Amino acid sequence: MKATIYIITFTLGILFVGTSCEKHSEPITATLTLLEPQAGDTVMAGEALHMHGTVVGSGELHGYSLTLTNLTTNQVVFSGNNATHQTSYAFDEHWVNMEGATSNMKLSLVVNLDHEGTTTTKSVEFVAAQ
Amino acid sequence: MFGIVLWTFSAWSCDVCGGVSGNASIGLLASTQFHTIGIKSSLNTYRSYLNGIVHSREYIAQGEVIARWQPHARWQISANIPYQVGRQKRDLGSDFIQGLGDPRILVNHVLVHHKDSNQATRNFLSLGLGIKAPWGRRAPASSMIRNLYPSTGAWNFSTVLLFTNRLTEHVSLQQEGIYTYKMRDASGYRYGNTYSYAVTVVWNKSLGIGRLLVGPGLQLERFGASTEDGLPVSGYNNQGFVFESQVSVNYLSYNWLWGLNVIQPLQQNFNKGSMKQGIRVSCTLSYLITKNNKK
Repeated sequence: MKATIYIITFTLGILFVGTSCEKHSEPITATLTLLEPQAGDTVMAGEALHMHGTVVGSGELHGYSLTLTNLTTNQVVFSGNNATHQTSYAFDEHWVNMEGATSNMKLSLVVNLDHEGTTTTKSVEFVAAQ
Repeated sequence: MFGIVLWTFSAWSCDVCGGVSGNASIGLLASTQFHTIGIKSSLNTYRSYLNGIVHSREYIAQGEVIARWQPHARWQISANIPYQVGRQKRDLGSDFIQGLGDPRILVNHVLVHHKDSNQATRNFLSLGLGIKAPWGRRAPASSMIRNLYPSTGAWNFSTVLLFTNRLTEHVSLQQEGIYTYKMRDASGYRYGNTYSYAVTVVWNKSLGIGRLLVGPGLQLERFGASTEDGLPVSGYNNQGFVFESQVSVNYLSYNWLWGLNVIQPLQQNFNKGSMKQGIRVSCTLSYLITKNNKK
């Protein structure tokens, strides 16, 4: 009787673990859209840059990050991340150009497709002018 | 019958909602026998979308001191001062703004007040003029979260036309139209004018030690487009409409009037669908001061 209980418990355990760790039959993909800024845009001193975009996954995504870097000084001037698991994201952030000198800027959107480090990226370059 | 008029007045400055007029109900009595003083708390919620995906949620809570003075049987003066707490939760951050809102005053003239032999109100028609002064906490000119601030930074002028008539001993019908003209703020930004029409059926019944008043109704609000230096704002211009159902439950006991108002949008379109207003809930507690002078 005890052996039967062990076997049933073991089988259920295997089924449970198997379900929990089930690999996606199809790799998850994501469509990244940066609505603003557009490549080559110029943001004048004191003006606000609108950072708008969306991420739509073919399945559950594992978070994303948005980073704005001054390529001229190699400084990160804005960053944010969302670690929640969702199938889609939308962001609407603002950054005011207070760089002090005309600089090349890069906005990068990085989406986590799994927890093993698989990501997909989209970036756009523009100018912060004086 | 104790005639009650539940009226709305362009009350606060939340422009997350697409305009300046998230209307707030104020319990006012068609009876002209009382002055009132009270407090009101409310919670409004909103969601903003980008390509159909939520990118922020807004929560606006307000506490207000409200008062109405009845200097004459045909004149009523009401005023309120709000304190607002606003929170915007975005995908990548959040903002929290609180402070005093814009104070408002409404002068109401009773044009018609027919009573029956029992001195119960049969028909009540009033015309009111309201002013909202930009004395609350306003957003800096460069702010990207202008909607979250308690003040719009601009003067508003409202006209309120209200008509209520008794249908049966326990039921009356109330209709209300409001037009609000909005000035521009110091930076040249101007929210569009708003129009609203509300119809409410008010049912009242003696209950326990007081009287219960229940008012289900419908409301339509229309918001004009915002402008900047006289030119249309590109992108999100706060233009739109909302069609809502609402219910008010009030209980009058001794000299206290308790009120609960719930508003649920049925159909809406703000900023081309990029912003949606959620349920709005408010609670009011007013103390009725019987007039000494029965003018």
